[in-house]
Amino acid sequence: MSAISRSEWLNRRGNRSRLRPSGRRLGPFALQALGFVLAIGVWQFVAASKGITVPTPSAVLTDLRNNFLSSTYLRAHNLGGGQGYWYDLWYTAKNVLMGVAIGTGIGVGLGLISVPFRLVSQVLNPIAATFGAAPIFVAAPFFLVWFGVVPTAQVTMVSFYTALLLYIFSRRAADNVAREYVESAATLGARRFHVFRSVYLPGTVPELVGGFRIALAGAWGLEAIAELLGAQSGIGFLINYFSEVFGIVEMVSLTLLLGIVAIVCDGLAVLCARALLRWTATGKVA
Amino acid sequence: MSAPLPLVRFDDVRCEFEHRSGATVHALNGVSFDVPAGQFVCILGRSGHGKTTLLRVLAGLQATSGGSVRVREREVAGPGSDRPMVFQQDTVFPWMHVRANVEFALRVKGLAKSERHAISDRWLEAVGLTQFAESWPRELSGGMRKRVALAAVFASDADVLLMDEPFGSLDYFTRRGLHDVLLELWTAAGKTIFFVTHDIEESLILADRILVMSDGLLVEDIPVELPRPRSEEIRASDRGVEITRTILERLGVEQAMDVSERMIVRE
Repeated sequence: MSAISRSEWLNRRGNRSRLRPSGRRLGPFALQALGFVLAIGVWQFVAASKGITVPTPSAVLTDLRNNFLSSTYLRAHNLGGGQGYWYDLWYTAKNVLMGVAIGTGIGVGLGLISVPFRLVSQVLNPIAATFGAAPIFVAAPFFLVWFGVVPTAQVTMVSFYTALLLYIFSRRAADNVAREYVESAATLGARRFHVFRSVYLPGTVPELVGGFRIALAGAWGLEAIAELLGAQSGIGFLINYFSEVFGIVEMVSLTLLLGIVAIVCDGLAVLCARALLRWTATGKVA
Repeated sequence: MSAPLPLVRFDDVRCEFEHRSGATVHALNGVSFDVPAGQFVCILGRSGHGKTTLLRVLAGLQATSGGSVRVREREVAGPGSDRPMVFQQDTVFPWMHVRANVEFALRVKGLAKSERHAISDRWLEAVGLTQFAESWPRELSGGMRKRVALAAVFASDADVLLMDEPFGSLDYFTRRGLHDVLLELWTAAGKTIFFVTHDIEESLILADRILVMSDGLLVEDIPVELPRPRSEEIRASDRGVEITRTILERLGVEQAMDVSERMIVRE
């Protein structure tokens, strides 16, 4: 075997860009749409089967169309603030977003502060481990007893669990920041505050984004459970109400509505995270 | 008339670590030397013989067990902007643009934006990265990121620059290119550089002086009076070969080679 000539080598180098595969690939959007259509198909099939009480997709869509903006049923039963599903959806979303925002601030703040101040982590780690292990059904009644059936109870509960999760994530993320970055900053004159702001804060963002998305996804469930256990409004409250009157169509409609809003909020979080993580190798969000 | 004070003084510096087995490791075993301003000092030795510890002690990242380290007569008590360091690992901050990396020490010092830009422009041009000022580090090659790291420490305008095998992870050709860049920057800025390496050729290309470390001891202090730039011919000159032989002897390599040669002859 002989080596290729220099002119041929240069020629190949020049052609490199033209050697990329040109085949078309199914885009991620198309795949997501396909998954959605498949899910609807399975749903329709299950609903058509005898012996299973599942409303058809069309029944659920009709219910949403008739009750989302304004509902005579809800008005007649003095529910939904005399409006439609949107009123309780907004109540739930507002509590979730407030709870996640407060919890994120507290969790990330404590997690990152505990890096330079080890005393904070020594005090908080056992507390986080103990309360983190407590199931929501055990913790929720305490919040109801302390705060009553008002939004404060639900917001506090979502904040509490979000803060726990993000405290653990931010501690781990800070521990994973390469020691060389911290030392390099120190030899360039950075003191504790600069190291915190210029190294720990940006260096932990990729892992924190992952933790935030998990907390946000879990918060919808937490809020719904808190509303099921004791609230005067919200999607969880309505689902609980309709379960008592055997309103299967309404229950599925409300669950679907909650899922859609959760997906939209997660999508917005991903968009924000992409802007924050432009510097990463892939730019992808965990 | 008394001699001028050294810029850096190591006086009987000792550094001990407790190994997990319970044994005490003497990373530095009473190291003493003086370095005047403007010198390019290479610290050479095998892995695990105290080179990096010596540099980290000077950086203030490692506490000593005894002795003293002084820079401009001031005892080193911790890291500081007067001794920035380029690490073997990639420590260019990936979340900052190239320019922000170069300006890091200037921002810490509180310089105004216009002043910072003027300084970073100068050093980015010096390392040939002007057109990459607004790039992310991930968009650069390993060699280019090392240039950013060099520009950042030179832009800080510190008197003493520390480099811990900064080109160790790069290929031979990139490394040779970076030697030229570093020597140009050093010539232009006139800083004192401590450069840790285990590569004899690298130390012959760069150093005014080679400190050979073995078992935590400074075993040889070799002045390198070879003319610059140091081409292959100059490094292969009688003096170049003599320096290489001295280093190999002090590291115990020449002796080992003699033994192996004798064994081959016997066979």
